[in-house]
Amino acid sequence: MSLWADKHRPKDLLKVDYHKEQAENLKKLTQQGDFPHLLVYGPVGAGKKTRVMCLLKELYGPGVERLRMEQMTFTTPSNKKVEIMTVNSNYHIEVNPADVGIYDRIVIMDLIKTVAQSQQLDVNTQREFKVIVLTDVDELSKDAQHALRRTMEKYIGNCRLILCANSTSRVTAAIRSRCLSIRVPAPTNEEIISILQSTCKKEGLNLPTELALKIAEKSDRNLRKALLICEACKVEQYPFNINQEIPLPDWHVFINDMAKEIVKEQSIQKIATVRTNLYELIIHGIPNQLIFKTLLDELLKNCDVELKSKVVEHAAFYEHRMQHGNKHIFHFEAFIARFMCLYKKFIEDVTSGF
Amino acid sequence: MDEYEEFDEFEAMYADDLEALRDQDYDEVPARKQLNVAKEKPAESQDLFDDDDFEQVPEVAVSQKSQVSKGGQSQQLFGDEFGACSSQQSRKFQSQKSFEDEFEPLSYEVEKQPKKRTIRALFGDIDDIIEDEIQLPKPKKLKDTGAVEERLEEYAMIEHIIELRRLAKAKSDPLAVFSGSYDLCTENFRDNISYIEPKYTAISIVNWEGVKIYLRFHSEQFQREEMQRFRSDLDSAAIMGEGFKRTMDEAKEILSKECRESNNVEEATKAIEEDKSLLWVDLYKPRKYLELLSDESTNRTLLKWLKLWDKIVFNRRPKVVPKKPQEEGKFKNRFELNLELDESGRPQHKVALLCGPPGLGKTTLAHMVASHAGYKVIEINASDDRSAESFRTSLENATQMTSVLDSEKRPNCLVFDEIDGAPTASIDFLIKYVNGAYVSKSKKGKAQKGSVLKRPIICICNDVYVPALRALRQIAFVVHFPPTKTARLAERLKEISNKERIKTDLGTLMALGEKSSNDIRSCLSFLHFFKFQKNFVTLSDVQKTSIGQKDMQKGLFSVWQDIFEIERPKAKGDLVTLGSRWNKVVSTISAFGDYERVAQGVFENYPTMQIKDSTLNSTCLALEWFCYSDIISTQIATLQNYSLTGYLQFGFVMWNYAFASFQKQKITYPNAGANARSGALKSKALMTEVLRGVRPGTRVFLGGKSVLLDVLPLLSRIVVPTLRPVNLHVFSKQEKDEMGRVVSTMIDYNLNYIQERQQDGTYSFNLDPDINGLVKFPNSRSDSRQLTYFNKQLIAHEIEVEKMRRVEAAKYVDGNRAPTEKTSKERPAPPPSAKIPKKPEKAAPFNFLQKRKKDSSKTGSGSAASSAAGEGSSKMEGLIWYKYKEGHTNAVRKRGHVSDWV
Repeated sequence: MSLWADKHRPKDLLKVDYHKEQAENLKKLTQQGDFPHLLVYGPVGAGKKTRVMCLLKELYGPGVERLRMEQMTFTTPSNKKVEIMTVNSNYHIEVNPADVGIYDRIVIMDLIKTVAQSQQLDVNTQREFKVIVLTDVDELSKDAQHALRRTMEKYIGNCRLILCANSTSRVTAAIRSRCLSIRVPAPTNEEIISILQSTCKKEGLNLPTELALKIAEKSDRNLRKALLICEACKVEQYPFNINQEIPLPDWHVFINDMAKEIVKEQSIQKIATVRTNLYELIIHGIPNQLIFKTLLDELLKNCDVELKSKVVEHAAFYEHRMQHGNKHIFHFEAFIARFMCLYKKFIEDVTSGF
Repeated sequence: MDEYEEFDEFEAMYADDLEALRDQDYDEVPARKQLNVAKEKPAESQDLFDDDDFEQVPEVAVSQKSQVSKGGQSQQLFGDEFGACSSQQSRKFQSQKSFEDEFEPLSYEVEKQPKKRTIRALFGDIDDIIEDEIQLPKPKKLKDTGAVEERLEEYAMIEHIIELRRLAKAKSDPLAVFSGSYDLCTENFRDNISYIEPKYTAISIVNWEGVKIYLRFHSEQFQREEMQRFRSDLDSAAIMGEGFKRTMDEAKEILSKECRESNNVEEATKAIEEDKSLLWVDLYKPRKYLELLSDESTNRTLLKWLKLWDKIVFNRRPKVVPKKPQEEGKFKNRFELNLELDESGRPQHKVALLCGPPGLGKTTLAHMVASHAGYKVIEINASDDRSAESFRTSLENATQMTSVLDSEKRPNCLVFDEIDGAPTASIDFLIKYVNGAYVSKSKKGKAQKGSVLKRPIICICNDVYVPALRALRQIAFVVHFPPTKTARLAERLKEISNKERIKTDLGTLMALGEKSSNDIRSCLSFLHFFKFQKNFVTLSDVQKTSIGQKDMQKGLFSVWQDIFEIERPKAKGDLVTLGSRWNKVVSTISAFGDYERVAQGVFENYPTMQIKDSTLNSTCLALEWFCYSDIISTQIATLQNYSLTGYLQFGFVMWNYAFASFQKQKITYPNAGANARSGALKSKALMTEVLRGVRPGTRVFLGGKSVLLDVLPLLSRIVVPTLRPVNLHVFSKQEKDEMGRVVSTMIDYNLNYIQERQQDGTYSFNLDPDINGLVKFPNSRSDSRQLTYFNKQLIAHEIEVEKMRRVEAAKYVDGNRAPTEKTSKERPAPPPSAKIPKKPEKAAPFNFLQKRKKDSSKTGSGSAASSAAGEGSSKMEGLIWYKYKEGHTNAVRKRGHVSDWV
């Protein structure tokens, strides 16, 4: 527990740093001893998991914190063995079915059934239900989500589900209607700054507000990222300097460099070099949408308003088509070629105008 | 002769026959030399004999013929010497015959005599009548001298000899009847023709040399009788007698041998004209190595490879031309044949893989070469059962056994035809077998040592890039089959059409060859077809018909070439229109079928093409089509909606429009896509590995991709503190804190440094699991800060210590104050230094250590033990011990006062 992000994580609903009202509501929810299925959603690094763990602790006491990891094995109808890691306590089980790709339906069906069919031994001292935490629900396949909705109702006596998602847009309406939705918004920059500073104070460090603001801006309102960046800053240079470089993840830097290359020269040869970079990103497992979004952000910095709208339109078009396809590199390259084409024309127009 | 060095297998087979032939040859040569010395005349016959050095087969016939011609032409000139030589020759022939001993001396005697006699005196001038008479053991005498009386004496002698011989023949030879009748016949001749004026009624005529000859008149009755006699003798053999018989026998033997050996085309044609069912492809199959149409260097390479097996198969040193030393510096071509043998005397490549488009004669070549090198060909093709089990059986049978029934007992050579269609399991088995990794099980169930492959295997395929062949390609000697030259093909076709009496010309056949892309098989089928329709083929026939233009599958590279290159119009008037390009690309692509692979190849190759597209508009358009075809193929794959397949081919047309040029383009095989896919899988596996190690308490909060995107990239920086490369206990407090933080973070994420040996022999500490490989990018700027080797070592050590400490702390809590001594016994091999710092903290049995704790306990340092605490330890009654750890020392030389320690 020594990364700041882990070390200073609030363990109690009353001690959370922001969204305090919501925390109180959650506490009230548990006090009644029972609650419906929950769908906790919000952007990355907003504190969804923190709240879920706090909630569980509220529910079952500190025993929830004694966690262990287990490997569960499922057999698909085609006799393929699928393994998945789960994090368990005595009272709950957490699993990310999206880890097994297209076999997520099997995991959901088997796992929920086995958990739900076994009742708690001592009903008097414990709650009469267990909790299953499913993460990345929005990554689940349609099949898996359909499998989920009936089981949710069927086994409600023995188990409650807490679903975590980044966005509800990819969670089917059927599931959304069966859950109590709890939105955990990302912290504002001010909140991040205050948290950064309080954390630094706990560590016995002095963080200038300007640097904290810079970090907050770089972190995309992702608290975990902000804390990690802050810690990395500290490792690189302490005492802090307002003008010190804010370390970003390598992939982010890499995409930015790529965007600069694209803006610098527009030719087929450049497309070829950009392609090798794209392959590199794909090899590292960076999600496609993220590549697209980061790249677009960086490219837009070089566009004026009129060009911006055109580029964004094309980006949306290609990104949409990428979801339907399988070879993402085609779509990336098509977008890059289109951008080059637009940009070249734009530059030529500008220069010929004078 | 070296051009024919490959023939020696053939020689081995027919050694006996050849030897006999050679004997004759050698006997004859001196004789011929004699002739040569005597006069310069027989140049032509000499030529013939030069050739005979190679063509031993027709030798006997030729030599005899040449002799005959000599006898015919130059009897007058030769004089004694010829007599001598011909007597020698005839003696030789005789010695071959099975004369009974008793007659032999006599005949010798006689044969030496004829020097003094003239043949004309014996038989009259009969040269032009029966030339073959030279075969008779009667030598010819050329000089036209000597008295009649003398001759008459000799007649008696000769008649005596002939009679004796006839008797001898009658005993041993059924043909003796003929010789008998022949003798009669000659006797009659003798009476009929004469140079000198005869006693009987005669007519005088002048022969071509202007010499007067007298021919006898016979009565009509005599004439009738004579005719009758001739007729009764049935056939002409009677005239020529036993000499003819022997010649005939030899000729028959030669012919049958030729049939067996090379199956003379005419011979075969005759035989097969009755059997119309045979395809021309089989009919006009090359029967000799020299008749092969395929590229000579290819043939040669394969043959050379096969000859390399001679060492192990025939136990004979293969003829290896020693390599010139200057070649060694050169880049070694992959397709170049490695002439060296491995330790078991086999060539480096155990398998040859012939690949090329259909109809070039790959199978023919394999068969031809194998039988040429003296092997018995065992073919396994697509029509055979090729499941792994039956494959194994046939493979073992072919390589480990020889046919008992086969009279020639030739070793087997396995030919796997059409191997690209074989199941992967079979090919894997083949590879295993070839590598000797396969372990066959005997009946007792004991695993035997894998048998060593001792027979050559030739595999034949059309498409060498079939995934199943990938592994085979690595170990095999790959021979790419270049297309046959159109001219050479047309020549052969012309030859065949002449034989089949089809009227055509070379231009037509060239066009045919081109149209079928030099596919011999389809050309022959085309001709065959036309033979039945009409007896002539014209250029328009070739152009009009769709025969010969089959649904050809081109190789991957030629498909890509079709997309990237615009074919120049053949005639000047022709224009390459968009329409013609469209048709060409669509037909090529739809014939090939594997759209995905072709598209990937186009995608990965187009940036290297020289395309003039400064606005990038057409490139954009082309890339649109890549997206489109990707979406379509995804739809096909996920929904099994194959009706969409038809739309895939049009993308290739667009790519042709956008990227094609007249230039020759260099195309490479697309690997990047596959590499990226496998790389992504690898990093995903690494990611799972990392997540598995993370402590559950931390793991709970790490959902989805955030580990990869946020935590690990920054973590890889956080665990690299700025530390001086000094020993732990010289660290400042700040540095110690830093160290403690890094250690606990790394434990949380289950990271550690492990020592690895580099290629250059040095050691380095690397992160394990290697998250750097996961998050670092090529142009990364965060590499600037690196821990030194020493610091990494220190951290690794500290992590171990800290882990132990945690385990023991957990035990301490759980196990009701378990004494530290006990735990130290339970843990099998803890680093000894690890226990030292615990003592002051937990047990603290010694006073002096407590004192020491004041200044050094906070470090929690284990490594301090090795040098500094070591001094103290000597006083500690054996509770602390040393263990020499190779390559590991934390010793730092530093001045210190005793008062610091005590």
